[in-house]
Amino acid sequence: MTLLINSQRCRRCGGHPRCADVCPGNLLVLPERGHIVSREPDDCWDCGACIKVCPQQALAVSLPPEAGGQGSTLRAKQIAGKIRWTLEHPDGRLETIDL
Amino acid sequence: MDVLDTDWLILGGGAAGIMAAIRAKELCPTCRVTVIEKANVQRSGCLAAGINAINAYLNPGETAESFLSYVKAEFANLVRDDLVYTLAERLNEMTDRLVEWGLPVFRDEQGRYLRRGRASVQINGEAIKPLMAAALHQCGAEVLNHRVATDLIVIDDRVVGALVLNLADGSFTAVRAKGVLIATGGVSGIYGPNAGGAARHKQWYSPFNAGTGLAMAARAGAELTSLEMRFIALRVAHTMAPTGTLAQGVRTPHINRLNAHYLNDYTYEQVAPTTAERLWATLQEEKKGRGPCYLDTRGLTSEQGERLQKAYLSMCPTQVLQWSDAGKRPEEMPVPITGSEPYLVGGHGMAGLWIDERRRTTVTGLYAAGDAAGGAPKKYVTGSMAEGAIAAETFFNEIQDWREPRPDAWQIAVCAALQRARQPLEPKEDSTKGNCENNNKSQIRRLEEQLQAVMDRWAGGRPAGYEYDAKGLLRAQQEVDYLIEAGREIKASEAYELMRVHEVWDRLLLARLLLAHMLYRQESRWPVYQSRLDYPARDDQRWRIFVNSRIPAQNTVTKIDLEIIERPPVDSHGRDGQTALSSFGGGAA
Ligand SMILES: Cc1cc2nc3c(=O)[nH]c(=O)nc-3n(C[C@H](O)[C@H](O)[C@H](O)COP(=O)(O)OP(=O)(O)OC[C@H]3O[C@@H](n4cnc5c(N)ncnc54)[C@H](O)[C@@H]3O)c2cc1C
Ligand code: SF4
Ligand code: SF4
Repeated sequence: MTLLINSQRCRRCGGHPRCADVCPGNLLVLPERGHIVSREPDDCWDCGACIKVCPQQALAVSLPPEAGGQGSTLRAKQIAGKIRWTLEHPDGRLETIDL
Repeated sequence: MDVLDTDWLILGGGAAGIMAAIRAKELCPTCRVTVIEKANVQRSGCLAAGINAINAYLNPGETAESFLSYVKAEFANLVRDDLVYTLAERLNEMTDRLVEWGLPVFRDEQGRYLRRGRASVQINGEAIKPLMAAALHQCGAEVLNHRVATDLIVIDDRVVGALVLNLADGSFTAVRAKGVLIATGGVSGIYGPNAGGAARHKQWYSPFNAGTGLAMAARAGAELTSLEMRFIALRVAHTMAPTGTLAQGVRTPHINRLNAHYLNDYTYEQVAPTTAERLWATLQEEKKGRGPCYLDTRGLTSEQGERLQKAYLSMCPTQVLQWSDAGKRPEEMPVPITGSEPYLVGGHGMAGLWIDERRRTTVTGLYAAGDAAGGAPKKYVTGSMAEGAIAAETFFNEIQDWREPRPDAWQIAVCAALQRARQPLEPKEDSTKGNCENNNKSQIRRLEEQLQAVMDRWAGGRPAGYEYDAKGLLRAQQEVDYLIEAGREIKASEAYELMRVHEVWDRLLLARLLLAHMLYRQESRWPVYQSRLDYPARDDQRWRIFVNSRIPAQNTVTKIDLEIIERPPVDSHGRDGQTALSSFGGGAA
């Protein structure tokens, strides 16, 4: 499970989930009620496409323990056509990187 | 069932497919051009996360001829010269198009694209796929997203369309077309990933390119080439992130666990190691107990480290997580490297559909481009685009040969395709559906993992050091045949599951073809990629030929019966298509 979904933040994109639309693996689905879910969390490629389009920053990636993950996460936000990444280190420290 | 009519039908909206659509619309603005894409062209395929170099570009001083020599030297002097040359001629045009669509490039003092390696230039390619998608929409082609092509529709040995599954509602559409392009990319998932469990899709190649285009073309009787030349990438361990940005971009040295620069400890065919030889040397170090090996970033400045971080965010974001999980900056920690699992990928290696110089497969009405097309390695993004453009040009040259299929023959062909495609679907009224869905998913997954375990163990997977012999291959053939049989029982209850069943079926079929290729080539031609324990030497006398395979079309439903065909090398690159066509005359073996 490498895609992290923050259920509180997901606002369902008015029923047309942007994240699900762009996922190259068609992994994300919006149930009739509630937040976005992944059909097969372990099938995520970690491409970050969904994270970059989510208007609520409800999505993040982390490395699974099988790949040496220690809990860092990456979130993204689009600001005027640019991407602002937020990297949360294992100790909770936040680092922002603008592209 | 819906029927859709179009002129030029493109299966797969990646680098090759998008360019094939744009070129077609340039040549014939009033023609109907349709792109079928299993995800959304916005972020689908290999380019989902972005890239940061154009890896096939003719820098000043280079020519199509010199590009060809470079590719030949990298691939043991056996590539399709005609294919490499004709795509090389178009590489810079494709790069210019990308820049025109808004791709940010870096420039040197003279205003030229900033050179990264002999045949590559540096870019900021985070948005390369959305930019391509915008150009595609702009060109006026019809784009159908979240539609999965499952089968070609064939009448009298001519491809006349494709069957398409709509993931949104599970419906099928039969698309009737005058020409069909396979641009569905290469094949991952035949071998097991480097890490399992939740990291099973931490692969280098797209786990969603399942080889459907190759499989459907094979079932339609098309010839495939060089599957035995599997591509194995030297990548960052655990994240499978590309290493070019480190090795070429900032020139980090390769070191082993003992901090020694090991690349110079080996001798290579030429002075400098090829891509395959660098991988081979790294694996030798692992074997000798001096692994893991690393790309040593420790000499970099903090500014360079920061730039590396940004470069990876624009291409493989999880690499940045690897550094922060270790509590280190990029310039503080050497990056571990290792070999990926093997893939069949025509953009990096040789495996794919056998095409002529004009990008026609051996089946009339069917074309191929990009990672799905074989014989021309190192084509990457721009070479894939070039092939898409060439295929579109050929199609319009031949459009007058097209004859409307007879309605009765069309009906029969569509029904046959539909019957195969829908076969795994359970009857609708099944009351235990909820449970079934979970059960189906795990059965699909299990079948895929069984295939991967067989290939890893007996057919030169990563756990076997990528090497194999006839005994193992025969054992693998037997087991894959059994899995193909068992796979017929797998069920699906909705569209996504149905797509997954087809992906596993396609992988099984391609694994079976791959094994036949591996068994047939009795030498070791390409280090690591094709390396036999029972025939450890390269034999140019006998084996400087292409090994091709084909399934006689009538035998696709029941037992897989395949034929191996030898094709002689094409050591010229005629500009009129004749040279390549004549190579189709090779004898069956
Ligand atoms: C991780 C990674 C990094 C790379 N980095 C670079 C780089 O830095 N520079 C460079 O020049 N090259 C790079 N490459 C190579 C380059 O991306 C590929 O060679 C190129 O994208 C191939 O184009 P394609 O159209 O054949 O495949 P893709 O671009 O993958 O497109 C294939 C498309 O077909 C779709 N599809 C698959 N099956 C079906 C189906 N059944 N029905 C409908 N649609 C389907 C897929 O969803 C996908 O959109 C990289 C590749 C990878 C995997
Ligand atoms: S990171 Fe990529 S593969 Fe994973 S869910 Fe998001 S879009 Fe899909
Ligand atoms: S894009 Fe974000 S807000 Fe919209 S459905 Fe997806 S997770 Fe929810």
